[in-house]
Amino acid sequence: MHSLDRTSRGLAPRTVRTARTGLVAACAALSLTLTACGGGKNTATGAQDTGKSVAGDTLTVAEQQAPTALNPGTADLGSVDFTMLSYESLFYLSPEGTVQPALAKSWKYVGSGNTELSVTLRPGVKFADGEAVTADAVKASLEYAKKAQGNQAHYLTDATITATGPLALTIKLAKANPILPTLLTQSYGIGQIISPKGLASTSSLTPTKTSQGAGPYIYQPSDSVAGDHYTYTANPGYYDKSKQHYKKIVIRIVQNGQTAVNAMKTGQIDVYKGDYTSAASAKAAGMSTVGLPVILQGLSLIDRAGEVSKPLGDVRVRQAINYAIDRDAVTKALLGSAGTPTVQTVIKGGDGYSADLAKEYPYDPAKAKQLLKQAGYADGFTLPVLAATFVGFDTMAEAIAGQLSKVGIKVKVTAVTSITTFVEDQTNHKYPAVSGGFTEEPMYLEGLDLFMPGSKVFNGFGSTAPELTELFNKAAAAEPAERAKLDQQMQEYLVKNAWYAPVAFTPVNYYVRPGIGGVKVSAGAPFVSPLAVYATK
Amino acid sequence: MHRILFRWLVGAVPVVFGVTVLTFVLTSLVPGDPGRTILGANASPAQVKVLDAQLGLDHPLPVRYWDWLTAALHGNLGDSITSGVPVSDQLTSRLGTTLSLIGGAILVAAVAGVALGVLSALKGGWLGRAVDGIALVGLAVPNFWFGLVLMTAFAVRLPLFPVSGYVPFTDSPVQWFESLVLPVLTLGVPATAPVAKQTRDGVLTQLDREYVRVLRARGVPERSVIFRHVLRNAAAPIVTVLGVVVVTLFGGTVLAETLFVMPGLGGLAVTAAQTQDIPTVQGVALVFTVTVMLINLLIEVVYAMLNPKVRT
Repeated sequence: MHSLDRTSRGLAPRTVRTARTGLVAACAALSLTLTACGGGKNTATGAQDTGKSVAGDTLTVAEQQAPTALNPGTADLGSVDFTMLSYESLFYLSPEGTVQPALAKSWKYVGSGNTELSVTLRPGVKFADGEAVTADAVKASLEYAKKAQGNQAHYLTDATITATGPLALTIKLAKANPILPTLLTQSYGIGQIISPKGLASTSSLTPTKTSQGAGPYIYQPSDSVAGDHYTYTANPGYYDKSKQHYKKIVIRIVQNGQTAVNAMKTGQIDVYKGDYTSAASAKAAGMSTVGLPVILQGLSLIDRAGEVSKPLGDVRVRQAINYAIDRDAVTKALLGSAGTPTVQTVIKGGDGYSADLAKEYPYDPAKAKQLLKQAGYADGFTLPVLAATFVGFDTMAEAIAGQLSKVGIKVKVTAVTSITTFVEDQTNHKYPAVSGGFTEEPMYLEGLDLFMPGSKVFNGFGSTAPELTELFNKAAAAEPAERAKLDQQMQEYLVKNAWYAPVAFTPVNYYVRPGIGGVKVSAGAPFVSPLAVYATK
Repeated sequence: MHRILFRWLVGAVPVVFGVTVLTFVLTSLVPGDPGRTILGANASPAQVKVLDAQLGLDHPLPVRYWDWLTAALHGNLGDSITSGVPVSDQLTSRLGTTLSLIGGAILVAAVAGVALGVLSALKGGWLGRAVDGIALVGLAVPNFWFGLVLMTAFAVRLPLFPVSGYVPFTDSPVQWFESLVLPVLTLGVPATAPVAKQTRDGVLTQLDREYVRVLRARGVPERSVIFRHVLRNAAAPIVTVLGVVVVTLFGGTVLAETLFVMPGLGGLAVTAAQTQDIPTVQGVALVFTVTVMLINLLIEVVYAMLNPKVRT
């Protein structure tokens, strides 16, 4: 719960994917990586009215933040919309959250334990530069992604990739990974395959040079201005013309929400990925709104052993904090109808979500005081909290401080202005709690990025719990049905042991003009892929 | 004229050098780390350190500045550390937008400001007070709000101009003009206020002078009195005000470019500063500084033409 990931890294202040919308400009820097997916359940909560697909001329999409790179190996999650158009991925994540074929024709985990993935490639596919897509080329691209400094490289760190035939390869993992195919879809840069020519000169994979992939579109640098707009035209050699819904796709960078809505009214923009603050004006303008509440905000109680704040080492104190927060009131005051109060780190329908857990920690200050008294802190204590001045983290911290003061806990908020300081102060054992944001993910990825000891940032004190580790390892190696139960048990552990004091989820919204279809999201795929969008008239 | 040019050169070199030093130091002092910004929040400190080293950010500040300076003197402004795009490419692709924007705004401010000022000085009464009022409002109204009002009125409700975007002149002169109207008015109309006020005060001062009474007594047509004599004598301080206005317009471009989604240097500077992309920030600062210095030179030349005493 510290920072956002795919958000408009929008201003956003701008994860399963961290929100890709921009909350604020500062957020651009917050490129966490969590992503959604993971074969999650299909619980689509948003889709605008769609009609029959017709051939489209130009699709114009607006985003709040420019990509940090157009190199899939180094681009962060906030940039994948810009790279997925021209770099075909091994797999395709559908709007419903299911993994489907792309460059890979078929695949399967070998044996049990989710440690070896066997992949067979589609024959006859060529990169836009004319080279054939072979197992060797895919291997080289994955090896590059593994070594590159991208923020998703760690998903492949323990992978050994072997080409077992012209169109066959295996990916062996030292540790089980049940959602590797999802991580190699278009929703992640590491799964977007770069051609051998591109790999021979990765320094040229910039906004001023053309793309080197096998995607349905080809990036046109001469018709683009880095930081302003990025133009792609249909790849004439693409293997499946039915997936090319438009002749041209333009992604524009529009930081101001009101400008974006006005541009939609006049037809300059078809789809705008923004934050919830534009919802009212978009609705008034007759646009459809599609989105899921995926950005979690609240407190992360990271000093669970009581190293710098002894009281936090007592689970009763952490539970008291959860009971002392009136989530409905805080959510209504800060986020209005856009907020969805929560005590869990996953959204309804997502991996690990439990309806029963949702009833935990009703607002009960008396119970909080009782727990504090039992823990020996009847008179309360002082709790230093790290926050940031972007994305409203400081405002949330102050709201929580007001709630906790009613049970005697004096929150001392330190709000920093720099993301670097914000990240470093989470890991230097200086602050026992952090007010931040996090884009929810499948439980497996939340384990890697949020609560397991290996999480570099979000588990700043390296908290461990044998029970949780055992559940995580079991789930990682389990078949889907068993994994679902184990995911819920992990979430239950986190909630009941109060590792966090979540407050609310806020949505990443897509605003859509009439005449556009395919804009759908689900718990398994909460971010819209431009590849899925089509014209209806 | 040679003296003016020499004086300008002597002043310009240390100013440009000083600005680049200051920009380099101040950008480096901004809390944050480019490596962290590029890699994201979940990168390990070791990864960030490696990338910072690759970017040369592990060298002492003076060394980094010296490297930049020597490369810049050879015409190489380096590459953006976030996108890898050569800084010179970024500057050339965006310079036209910003110069079009500023040029248009200066034109609006100068023509409308002088016209309003002269009119109010000659007519006086309510018109004079109106110019004062407009000047006050012009200074007080935020550009951003004014731009939104223009956008709503003339792009959404009355779709005369595009809401956003910029079309290069070479692509379509008509669309170039249309894409500039609203952002230019957003910057230019508020900038009209100080010009109009200065013009009105200057003209009123000149109208009280003896030579005006003499000219009128000799039967010189009133139009000639005003435009050939009064306005010429009042022009020097107006040009000075215009010079100041131009400098402030550079700051205003950030707002106009953001609001109307135009690929200009102002927006580039802000984005680069946020990500501590020092080569890009340096490039933009250099262009802005040189442009302002050139404008100052132009003002001095115009000033000298208007006032021969300055030339001596």
